[in-house]
Amino acid sequence: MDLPEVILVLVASTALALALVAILQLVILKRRIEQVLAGLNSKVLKHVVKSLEKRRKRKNRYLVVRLATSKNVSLNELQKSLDEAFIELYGKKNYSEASPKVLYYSEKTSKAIIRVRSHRKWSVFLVLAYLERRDLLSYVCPERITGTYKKAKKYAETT
Amino acid sequence: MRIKYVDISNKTPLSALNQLVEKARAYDYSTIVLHGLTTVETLGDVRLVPRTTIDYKSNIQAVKSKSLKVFSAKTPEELKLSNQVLSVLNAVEVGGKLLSDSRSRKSYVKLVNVGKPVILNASEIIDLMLSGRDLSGLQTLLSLYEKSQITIALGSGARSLSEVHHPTTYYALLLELGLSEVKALSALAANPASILRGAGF
Repeated sequence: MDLPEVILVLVASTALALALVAILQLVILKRRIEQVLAGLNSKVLKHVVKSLEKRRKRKNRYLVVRLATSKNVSLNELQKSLDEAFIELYGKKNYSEASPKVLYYSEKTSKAIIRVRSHRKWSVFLVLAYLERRDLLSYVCPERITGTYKKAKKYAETT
Repeated sequence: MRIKYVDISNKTPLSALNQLVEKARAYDYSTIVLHGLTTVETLGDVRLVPRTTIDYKSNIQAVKSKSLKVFSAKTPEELKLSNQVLSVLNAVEVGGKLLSDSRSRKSYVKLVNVGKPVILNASEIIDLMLSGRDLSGLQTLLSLYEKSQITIALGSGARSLSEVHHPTTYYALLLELGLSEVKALSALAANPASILRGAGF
């Protein structure tokens, strides 16, 4: 056998060996991908979606509510009773999560604007009902939920 | 389109009828089913419908008046729905132990089989929540409703004027209890109206 022929055989056998290794790695990788896909069931996806939702910034909602009280109350008094009732019903953790705040209260139109995190807006209505039940408010009429304070104030002042 | 709400269960004393009607008008209620009333009345824009409560001890033959006939049960033992009772009543009202006891599932299967609409009192649910009681019975009932196996109508169950709330509050209560938005709205508007239609009002 000549020297060039020996070199050719050596190169060919090395190429064959490399191709075999590549095929083996491909098979292993395919198996791993299949394993990962099998692990991605609905439970895992739900968990991923939940964690993504937690990371997302919570938007505020502005609740326009018509209130009537048996005695004249100021904005601060209303805020205080709302805070106390919220903590009593839902606890301090949920209160800090919701952070309800009375931004506007007009005794003349008896309308109030309450800012709250969007996922807790229904809790605020229940808290107001709780105050109505305890006779701290004699009348609670939820009127509108808006995404901006500007819209809420415009509605509260014009209607 | 304005939704017409119906308060399917109200226990406010008749002495406060005028104030109740005033409040109902302000809160957009079109009809109130009231305990203790004898005839159908319309005050302002609000229609008042009388209600007769039947329990497992009642003499069914004596119930003849033109009213909404509701079978009331507070414990699984009281939920005895004979054919004679079923032929008369328009809805079943559940409360008390049936809402708080997790062992009430068998009773709810009975309700599913009977096919009568179920009335819940919001006032009672709020009381149970405030006293920190277990609401597993209610959760079972709501999950059956979510699967459309039973029909639920939520009434205020108010015993005084301060317990009558705006329908949005009851909607919020149902959402907080885990119902979907469509089902919660149906429980306040469409289902009570359909019970009244079924009773001929």
